[in-house]
Amino acid sequence: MKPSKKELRLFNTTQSPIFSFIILLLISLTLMGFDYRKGIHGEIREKSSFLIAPLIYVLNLPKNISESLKDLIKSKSQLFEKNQELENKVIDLSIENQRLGLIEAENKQLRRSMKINNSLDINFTNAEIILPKINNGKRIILINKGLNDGIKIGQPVINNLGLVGQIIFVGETFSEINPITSKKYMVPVIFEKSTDNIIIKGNGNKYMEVTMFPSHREVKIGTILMTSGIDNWYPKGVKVGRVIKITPKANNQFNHLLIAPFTDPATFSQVRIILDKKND
Amino acid sequence: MIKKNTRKRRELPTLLIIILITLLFSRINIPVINSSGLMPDYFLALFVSLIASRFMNLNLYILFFLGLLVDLVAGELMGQYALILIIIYFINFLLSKYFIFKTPIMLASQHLILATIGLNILLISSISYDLSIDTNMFIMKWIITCLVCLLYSKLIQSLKNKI
Repeated sequence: MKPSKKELRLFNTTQSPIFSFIILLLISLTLMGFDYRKGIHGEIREKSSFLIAPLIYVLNLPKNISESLKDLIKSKSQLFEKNQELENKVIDLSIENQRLGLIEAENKQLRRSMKINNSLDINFTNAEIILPKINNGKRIILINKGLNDGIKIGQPVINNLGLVGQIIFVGETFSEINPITSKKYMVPVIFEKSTDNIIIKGNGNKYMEVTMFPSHREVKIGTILMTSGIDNWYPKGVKVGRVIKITPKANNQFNHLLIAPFTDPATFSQVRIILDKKND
Repeated sequence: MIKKNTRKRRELPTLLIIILITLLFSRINIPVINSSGLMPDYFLALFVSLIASRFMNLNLYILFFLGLLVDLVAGELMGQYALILIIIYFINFLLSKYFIFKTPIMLASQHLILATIGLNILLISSISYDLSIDTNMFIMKWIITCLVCLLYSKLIQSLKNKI
């Protein structure tokens, strides 16, 4: 029997999936649009975070085992040395703290007399960075604190070197931080020694950038940038990065600034999450 | 006598194991590749190989569902991987309708075409899409993803022969 024209197919003998394809295409496009507007992805991930938790445990297992083995092997003398070193550090810091206490009191008095709000008091919690640091090609920082510890989406994360990033996802026992070098990260900053307010963004690699900085404004290589606090989200004065390259744009009206952040997640293991700011 | 087809049932655990391994890979920090942002898209590479080799005869609906799962565990937008997988499936359907992929070079080019289309859709539909994209970086990522895709294809072929 000859096949009818409708049934004629070349090498593929399966039924044409055009109808199903169009329906599914429309569904996925609708889902994407809906998710972009409403952010359902985060909510669903938050509710199903218990599914990913075992995976994170498995990924951390080799590191945890090696660390506990290292702790076991560490000699008593090494621990004694470390203890001595830390004790010295505590003494140094307590002396520094006394000095800072005086400066703080003086600062508060001055602020009160000049009627300036105090935006430096912050409530924070400490957290430890755990693996993995990559999620399908996107660099993230995973920490061991979550909803149970009062962590919320959007909270800024800092460490002793400067700004680290912002919380973008919160599970019950862990959270994800969007690092400052991510393409989806922006923060308002000021130069350390001037009043220029600018917004810098991550370039998706190791650095941050300002794509259009007016060329008539003064900027030098090595200039330090810190948070301006005008967004009422980040505390004022947290160090962000240093200008390492200034490239003039084609029309000479603007410069492109490349900024090296002070923090690199590969070089530290502890961070501080700013829970809220206490304004006077 | 009609024989019961148990092949599909035997392929299911293999598929689950491969997906789990891919999930682990996608979250492991490989120093040289990951630090420079060249990490391949393991899920894309896996599904291109699965679709091209017709592993388990995965249909559009199953792929859509798997795509949603990938979106949930590793994606940034619900429906993004689902969209990519169904488009790859449909293009593979059209390709196999008009061409026969027999020799290793033909099969490799089939994988390259599908992986390229997948990566481009991923780039365009990404939330962090930027017009001034780093072309060199994207090309390097494409090359690495295609290599991973070919490795997956070899693995799937050998698993298929064993089953």
